[in-house]
Amino acid sequence: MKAPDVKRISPEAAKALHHLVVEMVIRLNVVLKSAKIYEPNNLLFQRQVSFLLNLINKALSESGQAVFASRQSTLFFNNIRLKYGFANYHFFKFILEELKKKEIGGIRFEPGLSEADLKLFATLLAKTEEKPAQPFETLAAELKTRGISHIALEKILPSELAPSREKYAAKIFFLGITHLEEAFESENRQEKIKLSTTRRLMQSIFNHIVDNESFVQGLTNIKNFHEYTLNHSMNVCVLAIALGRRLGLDRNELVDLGISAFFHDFGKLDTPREILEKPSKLDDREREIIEKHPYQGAGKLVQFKEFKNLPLHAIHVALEHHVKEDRSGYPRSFKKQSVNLFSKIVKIVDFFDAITTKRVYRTKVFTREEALSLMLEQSGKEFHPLLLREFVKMMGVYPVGTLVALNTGELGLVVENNPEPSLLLRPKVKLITDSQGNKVDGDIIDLSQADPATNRYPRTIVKTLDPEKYNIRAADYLLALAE
Amino acid sequence: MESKKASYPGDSVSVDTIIDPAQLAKVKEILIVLANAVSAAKIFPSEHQTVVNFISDLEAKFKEYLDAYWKLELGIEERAFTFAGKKVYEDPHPVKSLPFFFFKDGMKTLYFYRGLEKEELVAFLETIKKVSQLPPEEGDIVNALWEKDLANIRYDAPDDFLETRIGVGKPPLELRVDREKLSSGRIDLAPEDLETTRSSTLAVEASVIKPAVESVGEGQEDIASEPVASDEKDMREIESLLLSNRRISPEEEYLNLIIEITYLEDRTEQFPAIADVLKQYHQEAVQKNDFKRAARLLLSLNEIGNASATKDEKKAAFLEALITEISQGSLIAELPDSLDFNRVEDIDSLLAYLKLIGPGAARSVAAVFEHSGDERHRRAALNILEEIGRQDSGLVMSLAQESRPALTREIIGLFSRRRDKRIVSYLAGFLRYRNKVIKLEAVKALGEIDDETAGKILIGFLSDEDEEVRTSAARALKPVQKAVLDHLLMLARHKSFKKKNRSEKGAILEAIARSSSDEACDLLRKTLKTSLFSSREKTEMAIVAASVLGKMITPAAEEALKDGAKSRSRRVREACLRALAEISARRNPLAPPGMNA
Repeated sequence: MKAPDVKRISPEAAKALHHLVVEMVIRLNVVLKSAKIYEPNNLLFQRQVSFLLNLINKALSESGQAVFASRQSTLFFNNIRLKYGFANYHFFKFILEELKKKEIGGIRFEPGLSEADLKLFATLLAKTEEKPAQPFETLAAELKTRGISHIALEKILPSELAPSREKYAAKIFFLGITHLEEAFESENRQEKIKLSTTRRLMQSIFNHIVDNESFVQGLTNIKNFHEYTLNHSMNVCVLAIALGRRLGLDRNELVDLGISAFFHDFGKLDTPREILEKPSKLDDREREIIEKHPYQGAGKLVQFKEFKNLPLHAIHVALEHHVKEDRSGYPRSFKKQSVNLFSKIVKIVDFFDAITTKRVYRTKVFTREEALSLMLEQSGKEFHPLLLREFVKMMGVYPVGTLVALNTGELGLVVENNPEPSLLLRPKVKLITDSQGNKVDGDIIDLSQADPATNRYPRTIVKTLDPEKYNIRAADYLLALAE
Repeated sequence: MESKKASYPGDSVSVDTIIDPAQLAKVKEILIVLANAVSAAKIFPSEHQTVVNFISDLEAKFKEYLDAYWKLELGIEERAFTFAGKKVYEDPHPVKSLPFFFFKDGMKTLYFYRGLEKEELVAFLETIKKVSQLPPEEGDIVNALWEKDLANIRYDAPDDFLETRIGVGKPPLELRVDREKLSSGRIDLAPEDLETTRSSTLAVEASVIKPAVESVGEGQEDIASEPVASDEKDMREIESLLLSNRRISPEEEYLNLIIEITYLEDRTEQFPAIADVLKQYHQEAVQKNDFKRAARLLLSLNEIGNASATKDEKKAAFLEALITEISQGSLIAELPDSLDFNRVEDIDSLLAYLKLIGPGAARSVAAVFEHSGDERHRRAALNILEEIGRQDSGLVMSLAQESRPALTREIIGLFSRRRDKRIVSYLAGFLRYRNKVIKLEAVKALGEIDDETAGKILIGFLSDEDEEVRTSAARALKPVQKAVLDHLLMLARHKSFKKKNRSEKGAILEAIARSSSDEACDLLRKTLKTSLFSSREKTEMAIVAASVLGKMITPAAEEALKDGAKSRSRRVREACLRALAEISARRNPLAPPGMNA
């Protein structure tokens, strides 16, 4: 089959096309969900298919082709990377997951596609009752058998199906801590820091976040590992990239943000350890010393031997990550009128990670849920309200790692949030005790899945619990999943 | 040609896959062209015909292949590319081999997909070229391709590779999990948690029933199409934040940052490092002709220095020394020669910067004056020179050169308006000049400065080859000193005096008359004496003398004129009478004409 010529289009037309394609993604989302619920002859379903076909035909007439490609958990349409806003993130996530389930790497719609064929294709794609060993092959065979033409499929890369990607994500996390430690050591020895490696690390973190955001976010439940500042910086880096992605930063910006977050506490190299680890409240002199670490860190970064490869934002973030939204905080600026966006992002995630981490000087450690509530109270004063709101949405009502009690008496740990806004209260949960309180290595349960026979949800979260109180380390369970 | 596909589009080929020899041949062809294209791209610019031809050829070969086979999956070994486990391209060169270029950065597989566009190929080649030109520790093809994010050129570079760059020689960090512990034992809820859990369980019973209608339902056909109004508002606000972030000028922001850091830093041992950063920034700004930033830097350093003066003397001293070093450094000294005025877009900023630099910028300011056609800029430049001249007149005067007549004239004018005696000695240098305009300006300046040396220099100008200069010098003289008067008298008595033109003679005689001395009066009286047979020149001199005496308004002058009014020469008589009338008129300015005669 000869590939059609791709029409060249102007930037304005490209923008309009992007808008059209995002509409298609959302519509496809609706079609597939309808296909899961309704029979093929359902009027509502048919109407959705008709809407989708119109959009596909419009894309075909404007661009000459209509090809969806999934590459490393990113959706492309006619070679254009699709960007989503935070309002439609869950639509994209759903489509990517559905494609991955069927091991589909690409779908090409061709001129002449009929509504009947599209409807049948959607029905086959949405089928979840059977889980064949070779889902792609099975689907491709079905399309052939049914005579569905004008839809061609491409198989996903084997590497994207590799098992235990969580294992590599965890590995990258710990490598990040090591890398930062090496950076600190290099700085002490006045040696070059390998920024190309840092950049590579951030790209890898980004790839893993795209692939499995929940798991990577869950890794930030690892606290006080090896050395607080290093572990903390890594957590801040991961959360910053995840939040930046939600906000719509492009991938290169996200790498810059990651690097900036990675080095945000670089100034602590010069803070005496006895002050950093003092078990009681700091006196005025000690407070004054510790409040110097932002500008001392910024000064260090400016003097990096590899400075020209360091994103400028990294210096902003190092300097400003303790400046509050109302411009209080520290350090007090001389002339600078504004705070950098990346600094505001890092401020949020830095604060969150800090107050959810047990420290010798901290009498109260907040659960993730409590931390988010506390931060919301400071919205506008300490944190940028919109950025904070998106962070809270990203973390979910029950952030990954939250210990929950279910109505069945079981206890579980949240391992993945449901991206669907209407199902935020129904995340995926790993069972860690049975209903009698006995610890188990339980299954991961999707609380949004109702029993088809009774139309009831078998399990519902009734309460969140403080894992510290029960000596539960969420990170252990998450890492166990990666093994 | 019938195209033979793999089992289905995009299916991976493995060592077990039976490959059509024709397909294999195509792969090899592609790789040969790719290698040639890379080599050409490294040598020639992208628009060079050789590169263009290779890219066209490559595009055609890829299109033919991908149309038939959907995807090209290449394995990467240290010195070879493989396809379905077979080596299809080898390059034994230890360092320059194309496979090694990808291999060294941990790439294992390279994929080219159907739909591959020419622009992507061009971008791919340019990326390879760019990375190959970087130092080894900076160049990373995986980083670069990741940033490019080409839709139809993808790769596999497993994360394991990072283990070769991070933590080498150290045991890897990992958190060991005791799975046994996770699934053995019990968790007994505390009474307060148990209580609230039980009561909450009862409360949620109603919600366990799944809603009959999911997010998609009748009459909700468009629920997926538009985000709600508040989401839209948030989206716009976030987009606005992102846009602002993207519009930041890196140079401007970096300047803001280093100013802040300089302001905040209080550790003396860090000052040298900060100084290096600031000097580096300054140098780069000047070299890029960004004088606005350079000026801002200096201004800020001044401000910080002032702010530090009361609370941190060491810092204040450091900043002062730094500003001095910047202002007097070689960069400034070389600036006039290195400045390319055709590339300086903002002369106002340049002048503002030079003003901040102070005396060290004098030559540069002069250069601005010379090159600028804008009167406003020239005026501004002169103002700066005037300011510099107040501190160091010699420095500014040294800028005055015969090759710069306009500037030199202005410089002389600056000092003469202030009657600045410091320039007197410099003005002597203009005696040697050929440029009349400069000499006239110098003469004018000397005349306005009340200084003995000025008078002596003016005498020098009395011998100038140009008559206008000589005349001006005479007019400028104030012969209060005897030496000056003696010289003038000598000139007037010399036989060559008669041959001078009228205005010069008049100027010399007027100069003599300004001394109001007896010798002056005596000379003038004698000069008035003529006979019927006096030469034309002598008569001319007498007329001039009469005119000069008329300006003296002294009794002796009046006496001499009355004597002269009796001269046998009618012209001399008339001249004397006119002079007398003038004297009378000056004495009685209100009398009607003729009354004073």
